[in-house]
Amino acid sequence: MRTYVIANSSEVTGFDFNQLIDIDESYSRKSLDGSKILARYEGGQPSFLWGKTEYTHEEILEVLATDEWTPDEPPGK
Amino acid sequence: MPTTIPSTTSSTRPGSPSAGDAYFETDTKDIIVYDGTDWRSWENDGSFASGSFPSNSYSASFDGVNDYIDTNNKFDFIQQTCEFSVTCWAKWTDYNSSTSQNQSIIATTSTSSQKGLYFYYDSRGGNRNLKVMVSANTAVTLSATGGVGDNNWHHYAVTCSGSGGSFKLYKDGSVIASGTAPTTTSSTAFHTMNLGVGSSGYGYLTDAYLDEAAVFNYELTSSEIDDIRATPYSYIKYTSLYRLENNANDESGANNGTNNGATFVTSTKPY
Repeated sequence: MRTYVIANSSEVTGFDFNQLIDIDESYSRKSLDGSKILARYEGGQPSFLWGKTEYTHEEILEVLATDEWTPDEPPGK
Repeated sequence: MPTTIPSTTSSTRPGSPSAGDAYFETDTKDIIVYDGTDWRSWENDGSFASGSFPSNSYSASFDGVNDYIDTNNKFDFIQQTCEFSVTCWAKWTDYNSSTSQNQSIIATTSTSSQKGLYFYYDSRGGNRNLKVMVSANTAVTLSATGGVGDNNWHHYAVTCSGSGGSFKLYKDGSVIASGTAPTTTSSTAFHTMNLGVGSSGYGYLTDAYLDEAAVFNYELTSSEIDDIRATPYSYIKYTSLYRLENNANDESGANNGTNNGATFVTSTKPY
């Protein structure tokens, strides 16, 4: 079961990507303004993410569908 | 002393081959080798030609959050010749989800202002349209309402015959949308081809399973699409083929992918 948390992008220097699903920062998903970063993991919460709100798959999909994370303008138009 | 390879034809290949068996096909002029599971073919000029893949053990699950596979190649012939095809199997987790977004299947761009291919499922704002855009000199988009329609496996193909030529979207072997292809451009694609994301960093991720994604530098015929999606599951002269058999490798070996989080599963697959 995957768990998702949102952190400030400035905190990425403390991430151990060996404990995360994404390969490294360049593969990680960030908010459109770059201020927030999504972290994904399986199993227990890594210590460098302690205290952060955990989201389920369904919950994070709703968050990511907002304008903060996904461009409003449909592509291909 | 030269060695003479035994000969066969594409319609009379041995029915019970052993791994390592090799033949010269007199009708195709290809060298074929049985790898223990599939026949692999090489053209007599040495380039990779084709393969039949009746055995399929895995598909790839994409979470719609940040799973994607980067092929590490832009496949610029798509917009530079407008003569290409892409094919794949897809099964959505919940095609009717209330969480609306564009869900990319195969893409080298996600906007008409940047060049490349964008093949995606538009579930925004109540839409349920399967779409494909080729952005070359201009951008042309095909749209098929109900192009997904359920949570079952379906085979999809996009074909383009050349600059200003025929542009088609197939579902399960039938054309569900068609139009006129754009004219070519010399520009490169926005980004390398991804499976499962439109443009990394901008969303448009797919909450679905994908399998057997292939890229060709020519227009497939409907008959060739039928050969891909059913017995004998044959791919003729593909540029790259991602079978997603527990890895993101290209069967041609030229453009192995990088997997960012997609999970390879045996629980569901198209065949």
